Amino acid sequence: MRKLLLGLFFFIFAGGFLPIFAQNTQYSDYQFQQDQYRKSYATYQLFLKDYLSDPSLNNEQKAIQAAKEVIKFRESTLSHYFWWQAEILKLTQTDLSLIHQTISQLDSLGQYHYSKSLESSLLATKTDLTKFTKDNRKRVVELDLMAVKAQVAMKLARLIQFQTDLKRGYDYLNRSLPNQTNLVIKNGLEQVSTNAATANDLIEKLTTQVKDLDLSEKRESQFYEKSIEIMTQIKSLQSRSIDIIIELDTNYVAR
Amino acid sequence: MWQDKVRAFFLELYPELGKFKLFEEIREKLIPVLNPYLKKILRFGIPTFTVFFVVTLGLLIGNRLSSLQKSKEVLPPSINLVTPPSSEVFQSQFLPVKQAIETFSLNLPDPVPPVVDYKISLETIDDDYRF
Repeated sequence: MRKLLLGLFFFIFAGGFLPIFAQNTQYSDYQFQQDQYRKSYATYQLFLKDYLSDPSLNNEQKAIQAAKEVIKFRESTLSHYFWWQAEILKLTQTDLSLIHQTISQLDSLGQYHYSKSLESSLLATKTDLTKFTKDNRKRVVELDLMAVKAQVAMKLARLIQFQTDLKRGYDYLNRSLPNQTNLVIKNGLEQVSTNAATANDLIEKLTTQVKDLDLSEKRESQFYEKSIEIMTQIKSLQSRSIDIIIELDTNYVAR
Repeated sequence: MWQDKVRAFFLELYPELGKFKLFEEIREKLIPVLNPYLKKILRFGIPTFTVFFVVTLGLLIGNRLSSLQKSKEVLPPSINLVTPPSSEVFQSQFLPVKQAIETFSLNLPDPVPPVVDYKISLETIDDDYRF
């Protein structure tokens, strides 16, 4: 009888938690937490409105509870957002120090927000809430810097993947068309090689730009604009190279 | 004699046959030998079996005869169609890379960060931090 009761208790207890862990990837976790945040934010706004129109102790308590709930889901949403980004970057398997560094920064960003979501449960008074929000906002600049860097690093990782694919294509053509005297082939291969070198220089330039980013001097929109400018040049070079590779592969490689 | 035995058998099953001359002479001498229950079965069973047998036999014979007479196959007149020679279109193994480069979006931020409220408080917070 005792075992049965214990089993029943565990079942009910686990049942309350299982839906939260039902999602199994960072992206679905992120979506779930974001959904929870939106719902709790709507509730918070209602209670805040009640409190501001009638600041009774009862209304204050209700508003604090609602605020705690929003903070919990907000921080949880942010932590899963950063972990999801880290997951995407890990999947690119790019061997570049900036990428490794960004993955670890994204992991720690996720960890930071996760700890904040746990911390929110300790808030009990209006003063606690204000202090928590003010302290949190002091770190926003630093956290934002990491998040902005991660955004560009993610794009960079993909462009590096394309460089690797182009190198594979170039090597394949060199193997398939050895000692070529045909001017079209020679010229094509040379162009691919030159484009790759220029793209590599641009990748290095962008990497340095990401590493040296200081958001106290520059707005993130400016940084994004500059980064997009360089990335567009890289993409354009890669587009030209892949067209040449496909043309040579289609018209000149013997089958 | 076996003819008499057969006639006696049928007369026993069907006493109505006694009206006929062929059965008249043995009608008086007839000694019933069949069990009444068996008699009843045979009385109705023999005509049923005969009908069934005749129908089946007829179908078999008809089927056999119809298989001997095969109708000629009717075919439409042949049309002289020109079949194009099969030519394999070559596709470079690097086409997926080209597609990936073309579809790669350079928009930033991507993925867009969640829009959240950083000023959750019951008091007004008017600092000048980012976001």
